Amino acid sequence: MNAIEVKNLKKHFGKVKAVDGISFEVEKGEIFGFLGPNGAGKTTTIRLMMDFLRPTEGEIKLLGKNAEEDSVKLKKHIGYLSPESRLYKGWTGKDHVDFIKAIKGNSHRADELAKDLELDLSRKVWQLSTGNKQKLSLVLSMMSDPDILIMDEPTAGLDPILQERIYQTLDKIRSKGKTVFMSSHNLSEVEKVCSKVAIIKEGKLVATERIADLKRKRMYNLIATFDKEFNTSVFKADGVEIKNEYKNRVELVVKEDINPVIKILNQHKLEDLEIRRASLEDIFFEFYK
Amino acid sequence: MKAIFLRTIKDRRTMLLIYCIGTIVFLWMYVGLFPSFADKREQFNQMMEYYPKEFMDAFGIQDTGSIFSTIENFLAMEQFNFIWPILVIALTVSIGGASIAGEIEAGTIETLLELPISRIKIFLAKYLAGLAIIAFFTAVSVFAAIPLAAAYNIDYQASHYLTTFIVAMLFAWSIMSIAFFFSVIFNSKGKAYFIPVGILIVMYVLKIIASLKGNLKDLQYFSFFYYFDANKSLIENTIDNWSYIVFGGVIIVLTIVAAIWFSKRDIAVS
Repeated sequence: MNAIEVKNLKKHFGKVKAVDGISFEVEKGEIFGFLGPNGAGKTTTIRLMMDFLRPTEGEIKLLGKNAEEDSVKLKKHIGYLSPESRLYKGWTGKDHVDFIKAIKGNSHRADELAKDLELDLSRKVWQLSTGNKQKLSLVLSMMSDPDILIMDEPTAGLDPILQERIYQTLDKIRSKGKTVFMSSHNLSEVEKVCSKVAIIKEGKLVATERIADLKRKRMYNLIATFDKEFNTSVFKADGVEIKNEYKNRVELVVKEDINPVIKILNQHKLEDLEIRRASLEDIFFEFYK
Repeated sequence: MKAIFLRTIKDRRTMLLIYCIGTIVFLWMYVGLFPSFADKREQFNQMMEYYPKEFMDAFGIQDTGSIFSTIENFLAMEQFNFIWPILVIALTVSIGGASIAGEIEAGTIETLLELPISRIKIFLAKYLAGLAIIAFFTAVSVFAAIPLAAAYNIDYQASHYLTTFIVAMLFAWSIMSIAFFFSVIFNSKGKAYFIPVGILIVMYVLKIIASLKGNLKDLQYFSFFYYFDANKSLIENTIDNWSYIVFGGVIIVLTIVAAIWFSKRDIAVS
């Protein structure tokens, strides 16, 4: 059984199609990245999963149950982290913990998590820094040891040290076989912690890929400078894009196999050659632009 | 549900305390002043006879000669037809507006919605907490008059205060139901405060117009201030049946509609 199943999900606000017929599945024990630019529909999808919003069409199943009809039962097994801390300013961290404990019941890990994250639960929310608020939100989302952790931009606005700490925490969760669904617009973050990624753009799912497969989509940025004027038409082929061309210089983007381009270059005298393997971010934007 | 109920009360306790102190201070002032007014009743009555009849009608004073005859007459005019409605409107509208729209505006509604509790229960917990707060405030603001009157050796009619508590509670509860109704519709507490207050101001104006213009008298039936008649409850110890019907109807209809609306609506915090 998949931990999350989304089928033909649509959410329209009048004429605006925030989510427009997306489908994907997340296996148990997977850290699933939900990637896309701002306004792509990531947060709307998460709010639909959390039953804050109701779908215009389609279905969401979490742990085999309908996200809307079985919302109350499901939320015992779900942890949620919102993009910005949604905390009561006048409450302390402990107030939040006690409040959730009183309703959720099985919430025994708060102190352990707070210790791990070096968070003082006795301080009021208005006294906490952005980072500490996010730590508190993280403690609250994970304190009941949820089977699915849904996180909307978990590291947005945090410093690199805290980001790293969150990645370590997610790694621990993964090792316990729990499922994590996290949205992000930061590909390098997704690359670091996720095993699979879905890419959403303008409400539609562009692709769902394993990170390993995405990494296998090799791409190179190549700059060749020749000793004299050069006819770039020799490079026109599938998988080769001429980015810029000058009298004796050419900038290419080469997808997948670089050997045919190297063979051509071999037949000419070069003044300089620079080949750089593209980052996952470049690959992402090239393949899914 | 109990946790949300108790937490809401805990979060509002300072505000409730301030309102209770405020209403007691006003009551104390009026009860303390009453013996002086009562001693000079004749002079005050003569003075009040010079006021235009329409002006007196607008403030619900039908018999100027009786204003200073009993503490109930005096409090009905000074406290319950004027100060108390202002206090209770401010309290109930702020509770109603903050309960749902305020949580949406602050984003904290997500903290509640992510918990394994239905939206109906969240609504009821907030609603019942609001009801408990206004019941406490109403009880304090009505029954505090009894020990204060006793402290100043003023004769009082205890049963009249119970009757007044009932109609005052219905009045406050109706306003709270209106406030909750707009609180579940809007995403900002500003709108949830503004519209109920606007409606109540219109109702107050309707009552004044109805009392000033004989041909517009029927407008009074559209005003809560007609059905909340402190003169009847505190002086005559009666409540008009229409007060039960109108307040009861508003409470039942708006509470049900608000609960359904909240459980069905999309909630997206910005």
